Amino acid sequence: MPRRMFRRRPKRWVAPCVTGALAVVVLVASCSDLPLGAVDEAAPTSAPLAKKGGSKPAKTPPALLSPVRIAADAAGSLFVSDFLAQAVFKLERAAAGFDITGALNLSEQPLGVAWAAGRLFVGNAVSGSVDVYDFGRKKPRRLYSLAAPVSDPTDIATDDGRGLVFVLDGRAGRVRVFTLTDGAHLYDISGPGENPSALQNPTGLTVDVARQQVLVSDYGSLDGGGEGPAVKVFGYDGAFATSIAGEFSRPQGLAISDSGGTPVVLLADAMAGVVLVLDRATGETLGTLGTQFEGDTEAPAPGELWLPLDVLLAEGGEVIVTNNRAQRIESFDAGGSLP
Amino acid sequence: MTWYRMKWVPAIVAVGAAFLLGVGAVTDSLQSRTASSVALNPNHDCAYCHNLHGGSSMQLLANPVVEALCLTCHGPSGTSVLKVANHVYDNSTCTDCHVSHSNVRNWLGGTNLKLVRDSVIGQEGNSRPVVFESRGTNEAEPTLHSFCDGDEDGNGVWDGVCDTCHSDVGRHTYTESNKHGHQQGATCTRCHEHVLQFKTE
Repeated sequence: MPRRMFRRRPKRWVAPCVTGALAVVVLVASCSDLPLGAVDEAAPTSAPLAKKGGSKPAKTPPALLSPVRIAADAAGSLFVSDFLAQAVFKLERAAAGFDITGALNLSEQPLGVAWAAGRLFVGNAVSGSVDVYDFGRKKPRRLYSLAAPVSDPTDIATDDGRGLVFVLDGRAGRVRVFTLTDGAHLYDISGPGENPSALQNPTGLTVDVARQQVLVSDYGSLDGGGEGPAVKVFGYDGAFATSIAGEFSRPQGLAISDSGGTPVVLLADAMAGVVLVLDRATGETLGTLGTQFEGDTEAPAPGELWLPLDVLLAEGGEVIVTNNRAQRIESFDAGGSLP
Repeated sequence: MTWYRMKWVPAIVAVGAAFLLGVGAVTDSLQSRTASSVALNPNHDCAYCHNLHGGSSMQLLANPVVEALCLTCHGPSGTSVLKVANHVYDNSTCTDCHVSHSNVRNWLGGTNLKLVRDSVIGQEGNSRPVVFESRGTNEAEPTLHSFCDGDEDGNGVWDGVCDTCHSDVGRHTYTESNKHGHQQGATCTRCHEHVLQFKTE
């Protein structure tokens, strides 16, 4: 298969159920007077959240430095893993955007994050484990770790109803499946290799609870001659279903939606600096969210994405994106069309 | 084959030859423009960073911000095991210290490791030579020409890759007048990890 590179598509995606959608820029404010999350007004120009410079950094500023993955609980609170801050931040809605209202401080870098059954699941990039925390306490407490190692836990998803936790091991090229209740290892899905069902350089993961499927984004072969980037779909039982190829280059976090009648995949393309809305059946790009930051301004303007790494589809169709190098999250109103 | 089909053969051959010659000329041109005559970094395919159709600028980059090119693989959730983050100082970016295509020769005639530039712009704004041929003692490599060797070769130039800036800043100040003795010859990144913006935890 020839290597596919992205092509920017100007078409906007508007959720069929929403009209007049307007992008809302985000959020997280500079939190100079914390503990946890005193909040400034959301700045439309989105100044960097953490001051960079030669001066000695503040001890524990709960500000986003390198947001990677994002999850939500039933109440709509967000949990964002931050690679550089070595923390998982809890964000709650405020008058303008979100406030940081809690933090799980770690001694190592987190990657994948998920919320299920009142617990926070966090992938540890250094120790190669997935640790489970009780975040409801004033001070989060580690409960246990999933029972099998995951060398590079880049993303996590759960099926609460069936009691399953899916963890993507980026380095091993497989999805490990665990029980939700006690973290027992059940089985693995896929593995490295050259065949179409193999995972070569996977990065992101989500699950389709209704269809009992696991969707994995994969950079594909990086040697220039192999399979291009794709979203690979497996059944819960590990059977390979299909590969969604499209006009994208470095696919990262993803989400799914059936709400508009046409099942779509929302896919963060880190290289292209957009979130792609893909027809799940054909891989055709139906629209995009956000625009690529081109470095013309000192800081990305609202809606400009600089290394987007994950996508969360929230209640009401709101799409929330971790805008990594912009050091913030970006929220697109239902449908996400930008003015 | 009938005559009216055969008459196209010379034209096709001519066009094909011209195409091949043209490709060769372009390839030669590209090679001559790279920082070194040696092959490009063998771990990187051109298409990692360049988009032949639709790339931005003269370099046909897949993303106009070079840093994004690097971090899609070397960033937190990238596929490379070599994960990095920008230096904590100001708006430092990858190309302040690295070249993208190949290891380059330094001013002493050796070859720098890890795609480190042969010169960087120091704090004072001047270009300063860099010699980086060893990763230092923690990697069981020589102290000479490592991150910061305290002018071990005695040529009067503090050309360790860290020295170039840290000769003029408040921390680990390596200058002739202020002979900071902090871990000279050691592997700076052992404590100041690249993945953590060269900060210590």
